[in-house]
Amino acid sequence: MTTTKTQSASNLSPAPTGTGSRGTRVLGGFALVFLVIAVAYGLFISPADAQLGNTIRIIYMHVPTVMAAYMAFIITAVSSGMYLWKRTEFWDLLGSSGAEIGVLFFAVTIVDGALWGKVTWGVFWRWEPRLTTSAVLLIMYIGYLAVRAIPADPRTRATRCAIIGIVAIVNVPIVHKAVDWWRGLHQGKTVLGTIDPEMGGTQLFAMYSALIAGLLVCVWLLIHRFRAGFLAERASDLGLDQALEERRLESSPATGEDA
Amino acid sequence: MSSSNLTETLCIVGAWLVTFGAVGAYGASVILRGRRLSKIVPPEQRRWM
Amino acid sequence: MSQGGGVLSDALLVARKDLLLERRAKIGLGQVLPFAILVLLLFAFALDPDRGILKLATPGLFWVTVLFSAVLTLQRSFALEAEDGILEALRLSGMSPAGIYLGKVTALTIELLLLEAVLVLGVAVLYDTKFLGIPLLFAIALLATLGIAGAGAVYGALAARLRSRETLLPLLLLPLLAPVLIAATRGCEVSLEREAMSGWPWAALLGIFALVYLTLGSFLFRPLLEDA
Repeated sequence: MTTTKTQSASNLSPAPTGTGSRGTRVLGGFALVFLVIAVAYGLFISPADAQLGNTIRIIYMHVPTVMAAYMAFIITAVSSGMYLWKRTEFWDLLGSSGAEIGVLFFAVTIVDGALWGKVTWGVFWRWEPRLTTSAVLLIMYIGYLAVRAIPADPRTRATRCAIIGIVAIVNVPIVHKAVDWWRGLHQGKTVLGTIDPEMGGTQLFAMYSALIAGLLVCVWLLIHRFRAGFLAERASDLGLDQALEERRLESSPATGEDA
Repeated sequence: MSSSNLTETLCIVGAWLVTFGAVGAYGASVILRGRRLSKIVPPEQRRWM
Repeated sequence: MSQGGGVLSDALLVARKDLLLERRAKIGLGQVLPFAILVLLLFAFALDPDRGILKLATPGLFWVTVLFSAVLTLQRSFALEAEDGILEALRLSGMSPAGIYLGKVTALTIELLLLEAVLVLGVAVLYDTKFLGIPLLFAIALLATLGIAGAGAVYGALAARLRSRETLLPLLLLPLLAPVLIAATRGCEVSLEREAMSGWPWAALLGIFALVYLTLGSFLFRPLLEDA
C-alpha cells in the first residue's frame, strides 16, 4: 500500500523482509502512545464513575473494540462491493483481512461485555441487546471465514466471499432493530445505556484515548494482515508453479523428447 | 477485601488482559507469518501491489 | 439479454420446473415434512407438556422447526442442480440470473408455505393451540417465508458447490435469519394474545427483511452463477 507509486524495479528500495514498512512503524508508534495513555488514565488516573463505579474501566476496553470491529466489517463490505465491480486481488485481500480482524475484535468485545455483566448483574450473560446482536454477527462472520478457508480457485473464492460480505453487512441494522424491539419489552441496565452523557474530564480523556488507540491498532493490523495475505498468495502461486515444474520433470525424462 | 470487590477487580483486569492478549497474540502471529512468507517469496514479488 | 417481462417469464419457468421436480421426487412430502413433525414431537419430549412450557413456547418452537426444515429443503433444492450443472445450463441458455433467482425463491416459498400449513395443523393438534388474530398470522407467515426463501436461495446456491455444504449452509444461513426468527415468533405471540402490543411492526420488519434480500439476491445472482 505504501509502495504503490512506482512499478519499475530500478529505483525501488530493497524489498521488505516482512510486512512492516516505515508507514506501519509510524502508525504503530502512534498506536502505542495512545495505548500507554489509555492504560494510565483508564486503569489508574481516572476516578470511578458515579453510576458505574469501577466497571467503567471495562467499558474503556469494550467501546474501542466494538468500534474497531464495526470499522473492520464496514471495510469488508465496501471491499466486497468493490471486488464485484473491479475484480482485483487488492479488494479481495482487503475484504478478507477486514473480516478476520473484525471477528477478532468482536470476540474480544463479547468477552469484555460478559465480564462487565458478571460485575453488574452477577451473571456473565443476560440478553442485553448489544451483546446479543454482537453474538449473532460474530457467528455470521465466522461463516465468512469458514468459506474463505475452503481451498478454491482465487476468483471463485473471492466472489463467494464478496457475496457473503455484502449479504452480511446488510443484516447488521436489521439484527440491531429486531433485538432492540425484542428486548425492549423487558429492558434492564444495558452496557452503554448507563454511561453518564456528561462524563467528567479524565474519564472522557481515557475513553477517547482508548478509542483512538483501538482504531489505530485496527488499521495497523489491517495493513499487516493485508500484506501477509498478499505474500501468502504469491507463495501459493509459487507452490503451484513448483508443483507443475516437478510434475513436468517427472514425466519428461521418461519420454525424453517432448521439450 | 470483600468477595464482590475481588470479583470486580478480577473482571476489570481480566477484560484488559483478554483484550491486549488476544489482539497482541493475533498481531504477533500475523507479523511472524509475514516474515516466514517473505523468505519463500522472491524479492521482486515482495511488493504490495 | 431479456429484460422486464423476460425476468418474470424466466422466473415462472424456473419455479414451474422446480415444483414439477418436487412433485415427482416427493422429497419434501416424504422426508422434510416427517422430519418437521418429528421435531415437534422431540420438543414435546424435551419440554414436559404438563408443565405448560410447551404451550408458552409454541410460536418459537414452530419457527425453529420451520428454519431447520428450510435448511433441508434448500440443500435438497440446490444439490440436484449443482450435481447436474442445471444452473449453469440455465444461465448459458440466456436466462436472466435475476429470473432464475426469483424462480427459485417462488418455488421455495410455495414449498415452505405448504410445509407450514401442515405444521400449523400439527401444532394445533399436538400442542393444543388456539388461533387468534388470523390476518396477522397470515401476513407474518407469508413475509417470513419470503425472507427465508430470499436469503436462503442466495446462500443455498453459494453453498451447493462446496464439499462441506451440509455444515456450511446452516452456519451461514441461520445467523442471517435470526431477525426473522425473532420477528416471526414475537409477531405470532402477539396474534395469539400472549403479549399485549401491536404485532404489525413485527410484520413490517419481516417485510423489510424480505424486500432487502430479494433485491440483493436479484443483483448478486449474476456473479454467483458466473464465478462462485
